[in-house]
Amino acid sequence: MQPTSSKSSEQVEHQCPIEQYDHGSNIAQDQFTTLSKLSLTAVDKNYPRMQLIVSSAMLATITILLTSFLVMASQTPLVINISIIGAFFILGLAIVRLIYLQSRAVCYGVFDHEFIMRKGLFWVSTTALPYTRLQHVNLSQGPVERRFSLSTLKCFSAGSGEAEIHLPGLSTQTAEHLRQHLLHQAAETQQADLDPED
Amino acid sequence: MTEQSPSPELELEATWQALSPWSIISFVASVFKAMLSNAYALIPIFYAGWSNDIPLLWVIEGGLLLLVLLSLFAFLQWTKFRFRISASQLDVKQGILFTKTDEIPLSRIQNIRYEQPFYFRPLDLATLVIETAGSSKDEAKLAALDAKQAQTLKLQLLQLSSAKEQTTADNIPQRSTIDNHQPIIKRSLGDLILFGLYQNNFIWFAIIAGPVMGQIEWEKVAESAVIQSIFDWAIQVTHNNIILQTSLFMSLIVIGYIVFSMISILASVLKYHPYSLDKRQQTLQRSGGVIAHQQDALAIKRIQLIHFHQPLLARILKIWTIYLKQVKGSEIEQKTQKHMLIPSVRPAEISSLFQKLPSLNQDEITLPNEYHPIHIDWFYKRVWLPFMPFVLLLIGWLTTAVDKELLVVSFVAAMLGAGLLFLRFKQWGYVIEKHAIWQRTGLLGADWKRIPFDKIQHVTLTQTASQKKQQLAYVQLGLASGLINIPYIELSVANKITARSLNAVAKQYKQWI
Repeated sequence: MQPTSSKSSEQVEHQCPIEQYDHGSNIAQDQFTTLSKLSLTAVDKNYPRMQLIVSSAMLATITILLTSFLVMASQTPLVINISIIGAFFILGLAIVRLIYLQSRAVCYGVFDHEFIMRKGLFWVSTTALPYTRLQHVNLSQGPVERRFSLSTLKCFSAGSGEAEIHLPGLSTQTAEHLRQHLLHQAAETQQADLDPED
Repeated sequence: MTEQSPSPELELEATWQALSPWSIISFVASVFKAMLSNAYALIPIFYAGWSNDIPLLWVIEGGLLLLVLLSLFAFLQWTKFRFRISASQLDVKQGILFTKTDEIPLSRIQNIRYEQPFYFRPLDLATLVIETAGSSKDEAKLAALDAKQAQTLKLQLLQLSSAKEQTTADNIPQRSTIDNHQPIIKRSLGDLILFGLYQNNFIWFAIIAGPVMGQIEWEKVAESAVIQSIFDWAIQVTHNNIILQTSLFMSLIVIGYIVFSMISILASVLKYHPYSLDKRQQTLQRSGGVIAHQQDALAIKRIQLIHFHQPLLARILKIWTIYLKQVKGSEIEQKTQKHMLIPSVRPAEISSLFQKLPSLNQDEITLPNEYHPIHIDWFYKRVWLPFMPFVLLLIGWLTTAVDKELLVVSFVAAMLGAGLLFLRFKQWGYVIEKHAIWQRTGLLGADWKRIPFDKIQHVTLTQTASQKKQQLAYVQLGLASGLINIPYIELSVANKITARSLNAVAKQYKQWI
């Protein structure tokens, strides 16, 4: 049964255009994908969720504090109090939404020779850090991140004290893999170019 | 390591060594120097003390006590300080209560400073300051070495690092020419005077003087006899003529400016004269200084970018200051964060100057004559900002009573702000070369920064939604010496810059800092 079926499928394939592949037109150099257009991987789904929950909780706390303060301490009429709180709450909701959208915009990509990260809602910025310029990698996890099993990856190159790449919201497992991979890449590029000739 | 000739010092110095007791003086002096150079911060304290009638004796006693405590501290530190140099690293052990040991691999040494303060000159002693790439506070200081020993030590530290370099880099062997100096550039007294003149910052004085002026009770000063007589004289001379009074006021400002220029010139001459920059193997050495003789050495490959700086006055004189910028936090003079600089360079000298430093770049370095401007939107996106106070005041004026004069002042300020912004825009630009990119900035003065593509560490491309529509972008180039921004350029150019930098950097590893 089986051999015959496979044979027949092969014969079918021979007749089909599947054996020929249309490469399409040769892409000219000016059609190479540029840094700002590269498609990248989004961070873990838990990250926007975490940001949403944390910022909502903060908004709720501040609103409650504000309400209790206005009710207890101030002499202003109730209508004004309610409108102040209402306006504040709406503004807060808008900010929470922005934080959520911003956290969904964070994405990254591991390429042959560089690590790329993109973030930003209004100012969309894409950073490329070649492995050859990677000095050290740092993985950190705050108490809230731990609950969501997320980690933050930071990549440093020389000179400035702050991280060139600050990538939050990786699942702990991915982050660890990524760290290993980046370090390996960095070590490999150094080895490859230091050992032989010139 | 295969040593070509194990020098006798090398074996001797493999054991821990103490510094000479003279280093105690150097410690106390450096603390006093730090206090003096921050003395303007003490002026209010002195003034408060003076106005509160604190007896002079207390001040002297306080000063003496401070000196005794400092000397005791310095003595204890000296008893604990040890250093040793082995074939590949320098170890420094210090600390009174907590012992701290620094192990510095010689290949990591960024630059070495050789200092001879005036109080060491009669004894022929000198101090070596060794700086490494890394956290900025970890510099090793070997004080009060015998001057000859200091020079040999310096050579040892530098030459070992360059010898290592040669074995790995397989360069043309230069063993036979170990002691060759190649003079790069010398600066005459006149050049240094010019440097002091154009580098003078009267504005800084105003900023420092402002708070001090605020503390003085002007009424009391004005009532004092001397000021009164000067005031009377001024009124007499000017006959209450407003033109003469303003011209008197202007000439006072001019005199103030001249006094400051003199101080600045004196400082520049004392610090740098006789200035000379030499190349010894692969290091650059600057030497000079009237009171304290100082020698800075820096490995050429550590230079990240070349910064040509020109304040307004220098622009008129058509001369430049050249800064050779290193990794941030490991500048030649760490406290003041100064990079190695070449004062008063004329445009004609630039090309020959860099021809003597071929390792800095493959092709000729000359200042570009013109530059590509950034997009005018940079200006449009900012020009409304200075008008904001005016608009707010205008609304206030229309609805409630706001002083009309205030309105006028805010309008003039807004126009001035917009004018400066436009000037800044006109000066923004870039030039792309084969191996490097130039960034041009400036307001009244001018700045050129030459960024070699192979020193770039990361590239960031930023776009807003409207920039995306217009095909514009912001490019940020990260270097070990700091960030370089080129705003509002065409996307195609931004992509070109990105491509060139990544091509130069991504596929070949080369020690770049």
